[in-house]
Amino acid sequence: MDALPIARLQFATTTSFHFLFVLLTLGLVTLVAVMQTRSALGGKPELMRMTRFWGKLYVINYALGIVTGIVMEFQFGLTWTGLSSVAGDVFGAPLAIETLVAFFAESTFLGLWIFGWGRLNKWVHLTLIWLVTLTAYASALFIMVANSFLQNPVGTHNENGVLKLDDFGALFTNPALAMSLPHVLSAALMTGGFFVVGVSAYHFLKHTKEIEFFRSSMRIGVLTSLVGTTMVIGFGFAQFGPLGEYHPGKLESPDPLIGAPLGLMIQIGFIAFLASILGTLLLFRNWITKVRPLLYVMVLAIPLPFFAAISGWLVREIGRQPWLIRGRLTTADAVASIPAGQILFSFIAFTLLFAVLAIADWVLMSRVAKRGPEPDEETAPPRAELPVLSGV
Amino acid sequence: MVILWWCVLGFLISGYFALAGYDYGVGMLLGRLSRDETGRRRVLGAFGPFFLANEVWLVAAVGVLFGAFPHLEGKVFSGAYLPVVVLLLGLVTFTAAVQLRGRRPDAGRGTWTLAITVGAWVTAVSWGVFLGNLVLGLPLDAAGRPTGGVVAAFSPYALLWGAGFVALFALQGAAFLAVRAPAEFTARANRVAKALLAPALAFLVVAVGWGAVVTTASWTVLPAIVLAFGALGVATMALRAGRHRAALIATMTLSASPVLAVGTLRLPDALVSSVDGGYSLSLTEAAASTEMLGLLTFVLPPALVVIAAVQWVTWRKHGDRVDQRSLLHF
Repeated sequence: MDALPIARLQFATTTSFHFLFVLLTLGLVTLVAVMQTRSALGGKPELMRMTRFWGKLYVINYALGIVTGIVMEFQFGLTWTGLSSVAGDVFGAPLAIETLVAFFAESTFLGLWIFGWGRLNKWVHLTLIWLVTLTAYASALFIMVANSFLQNPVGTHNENGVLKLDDFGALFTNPALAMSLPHVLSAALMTGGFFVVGVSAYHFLKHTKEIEFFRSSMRIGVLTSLVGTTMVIGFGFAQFGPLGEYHPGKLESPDPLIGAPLGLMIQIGFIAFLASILGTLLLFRNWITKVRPLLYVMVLAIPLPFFAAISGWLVREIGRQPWLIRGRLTTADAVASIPAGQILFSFIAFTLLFAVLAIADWVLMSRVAKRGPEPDEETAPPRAELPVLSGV
Repeated sequence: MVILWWCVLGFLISGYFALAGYDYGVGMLLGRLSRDETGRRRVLGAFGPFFLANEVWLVAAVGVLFGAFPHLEGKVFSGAYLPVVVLLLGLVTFTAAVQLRGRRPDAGRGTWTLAITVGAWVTAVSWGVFLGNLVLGLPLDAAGRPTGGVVAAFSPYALLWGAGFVALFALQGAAFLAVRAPAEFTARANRVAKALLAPALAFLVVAVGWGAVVTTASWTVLPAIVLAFGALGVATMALRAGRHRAALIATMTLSASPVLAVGTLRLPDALVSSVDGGYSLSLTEAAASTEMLGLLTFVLPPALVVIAAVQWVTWRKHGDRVDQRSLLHF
């Protein structure tokens, strides 16, 4: 039994799970921050309840982003030991900055935000959600810097088989980064937008009494989808130019795991773009909430951005094979000499655990989403469960 | 410069043990200390505001390990593959279950409670086994490749450490609950903590004595050992006197001191092999280049100071007991 394919599959599975959760985290936190800002600036009372409701869903989703991220971080040292011996001096820096400046800060601020409901000054509380958002985006930046280095190892030279950094700034101007970072961020916005639209559509299908609440949510969701899909397509195609320079022929690979996902991603992108335009037009007089067949489509479309994102990720990562660092280090040379049986054990264990947790998380999200927003605190009956306030 | 970064890394890892240790301790004691759902929510509410911030100290520590000591990072996890994998399984289960447990007001929570308890136990045992292995040295051949079989990492000495960390974290969790949980839990938490003092002492004595026989150490480890015994002594006195804040700080120090011991055990070596003629890695060899460390020095320590200050504010804001007005998120 060969350890390499299992180790690759283990990392791919972990990363896929991670990506599914962080994508929505990034998109949804932006929407929550916008809602809270409008509320703080004196918007309708619905906006505060919207912040709470969508924030609750965001927090459930966030839980699995953290845990899959921790496992990914450890896997560099568990199975890809060649990466640290060849490129540790280069690759480690963006990763270290990401964990400390972004991830560490993000969780700290999020904890303060969750436990700051009704306790903190409203501007301080608002600042916290924006800090959470900014650090989440910073996370994406540094991870994409690290990933782009693997695609196109700029700013370094080879010294006895070890990569030495010449120019730290070059990591940030990497042509593999410039268009892919905004592509990923706009994909996250599109995912967040589709999610909010889909959940709102569900409530209109169920003849919700919270018409104003879901109308406003729908409006923000549709506009976010429009911005997200427009940019995701733009920055998607903008990548072809630089890609042809730094990795010619990548997309012409005969590997079916590259061509098919690329096609799927592009098709989903265009469909989503057209749907967002249609949705925006139907915002006129709130027609969008009244056309029932379309509402069904919106609910069913929630998973589409996730399929597109995983497809895009497959194209980018499988297209790099057999290299881990393109032209410098192959995955075969980078894998640790762990017995294949042990890697198989960990692969099965991680996959099962993530699958169970992911399903539990999604079931939980769908239940909370279906329940809809909590009634206003002033009008709510006294809680039977506990004499305490509940958080987000 | 290398020494400075070794200290930063040590600060982050011992910070993680000092903070997240009581999360795992509370998780292990959850079933013992609370009888019904109201009680369980209040027990979990005790660490609630700190939970997310505590857990990510580990993320930051591993990031700094990769950034500043890439050559160590590549050896230390793969050299103890199975204990680290089991650790991650426990950690993932615990961290996810804590966050997801309370999200639906109308749902049963028994499975999540079980997942929290089991996850906390697995995490505590695995941290002990992992550190115990680092004390012995990892089974690496001359080129640094892992050579151990499946059972190599679970030697009796490493298992002793596994059991020891159950005692240390549970003690820390009980001391924490005596400070933060509602008043009706204080007496019980104090009793549990006092009962755990003897196992903790036994672990320290046997780990040091047995360790001195089976492995070699540099004199640099002595301060960490003195710190551990001192912290346990202070914790004992403080628990008897009912001074729970002092007891908490002492038990946090106690849980962090094994990390400091492992970090100072073989200076100037960062890692040695348990195999004769095997691999060894000095601190300088483990570190990133001087230029890279210089670059990281610009970015990371200032960020660390800012975040630590923000976490300090969190502590100040939620220093009192959980009461009727407390926000129970978990």
